[in-house]
Amino acid sequence: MAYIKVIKPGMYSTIQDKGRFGFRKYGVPTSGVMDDLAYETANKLLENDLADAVIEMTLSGGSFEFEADTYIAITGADMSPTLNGYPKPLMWRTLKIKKGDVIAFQSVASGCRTYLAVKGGVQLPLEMESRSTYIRANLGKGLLKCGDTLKILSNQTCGSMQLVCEKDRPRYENRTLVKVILGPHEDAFTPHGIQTFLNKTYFVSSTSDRMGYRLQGPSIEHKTDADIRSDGIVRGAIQVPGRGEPIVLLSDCQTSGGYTKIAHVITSDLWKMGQLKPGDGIRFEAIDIYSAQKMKAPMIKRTLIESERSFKIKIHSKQYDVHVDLIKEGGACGEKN
Amino acid sequence: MKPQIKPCGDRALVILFEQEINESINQQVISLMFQVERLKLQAILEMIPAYCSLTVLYEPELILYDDLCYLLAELLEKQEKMICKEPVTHDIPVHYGGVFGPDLKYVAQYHHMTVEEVVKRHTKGLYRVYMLGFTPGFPYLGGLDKSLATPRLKTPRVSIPIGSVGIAGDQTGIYPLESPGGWQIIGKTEVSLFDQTRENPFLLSPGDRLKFVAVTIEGGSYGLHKSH
Repeated sequence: MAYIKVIKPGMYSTIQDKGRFGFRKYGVPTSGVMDDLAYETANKLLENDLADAVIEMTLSGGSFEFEADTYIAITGADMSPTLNGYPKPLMWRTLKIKKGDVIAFQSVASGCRTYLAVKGGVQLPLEMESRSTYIRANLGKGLLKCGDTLKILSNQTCGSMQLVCEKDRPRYENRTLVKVILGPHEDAFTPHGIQTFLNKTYFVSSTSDRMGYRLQGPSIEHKTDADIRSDGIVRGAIQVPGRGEPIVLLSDCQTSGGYTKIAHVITSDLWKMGQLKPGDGIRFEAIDIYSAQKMKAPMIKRTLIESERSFKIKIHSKQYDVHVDLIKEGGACGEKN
Repeated sequence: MKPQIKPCGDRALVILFEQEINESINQQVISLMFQVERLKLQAILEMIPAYCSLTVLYEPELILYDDLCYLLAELLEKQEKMICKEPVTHDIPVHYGGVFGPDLKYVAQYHHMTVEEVVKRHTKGLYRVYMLGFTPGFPYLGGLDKSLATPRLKTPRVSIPIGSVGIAGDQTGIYPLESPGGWQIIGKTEVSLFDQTRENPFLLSPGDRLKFVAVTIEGGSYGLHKSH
């Protein structure tokens, strides 16, 4: 058996996969990754099963020692990763790792969450069909801490080395437009309330987490009150309690709740919520369900790397490390440190 | 009142029945869920039954919103028969009072009753599991004797042991996990509501019935004694 050793865990790091489905009627949240798009891309870069478990890091990442040869992929927010202390182009590509290599992360420049995927996925026993972490119910591994060891598969090969070119990578801005479908309780709000919700910018407060993002901004007006008979909640639901400030419910949200829901974030925009952090701004745009259901799932373009080269050059007595990837389409997409 | 169907984003919808908490309406929710499950459609991913609504999660690549609404409307038309599985009734053995039920005496005093009377009224009822939520395996039970309704603690406890049986307002329930909370704790059961290592991790399902059975009662006029 091979392992990843957690030297430092980072601010809030957990093992997640696609999520824990099928148990919502028993009160079990789905958990799972907060940015599906970056997660899926990381597994695709490794030709992994799309439900393989990864490390999800938040705001500030850890350092990890690999106790076997393997392949990894790092996607999501840029935490300035280093390999054995050296800053190199490590993100958004299939990376070959040798036994003893250490990958270390700093803090995010933009975005919020970073995914570290390993070939074959993090090996954990399935708990109710998933390897996702839900701390409240002791499901999954729990918050990663110093000295933890994570089992991985050994003797892995990768059929191809891939890359997401710089131009194809998602940009994580601190102001985002998020598409929503109004309802099911839109009738509980005044027209003025709905207009406020769709026209104003809301800011992510510091009391935001994997359960939900509490937003600060103009109060959204109800016709009467915010209480409903508790009903089911799905990821992406936007609740508006009496105070009038919306809460976007996310991966660890409870499965039922008693506040009016004004709208839901559409599935293909949910990943955006996972990359917002306290202080970031959101504007909501309503679309109808028919348009939403016609939309294709977002995908990040991956390119095959035919060969790669690293070398040093000197320009005007300044030394640069250069890495060149020769990609399948014919043009090289170079990165410079 | 005709049930309303509304979208919950692009991969879920909710059927809203008459918005009241009562057995008859909840039975319609459970019955509809049962009928949808019976169809064994790949397009239906899972469902969340609640007091008076059913949330259905589906795969839009396999069925679009309008078509699913149509299918559900047809099932709702057939609702008169209220087809369902036989409800399961669970007996929940409880140690009332003492260290297991630190608030039992308070509840008794609040209602000018003896401890024994509180236990008698709590164990007399046949409770309905309306839904599960708040935390894995936590049942929302209906049927608490109105004379036992007691306000929550002014200051919630930081930690309530797993299996604690409590009262909050006009609700009664059991904590499936250790958690903070403001319920009046009147007893404790050793029965496990949620155990992820079990083949069926959850003891209770929405629509089940439940009875509390007093194993021991402590703190009443007779000291610690077993119940017959």
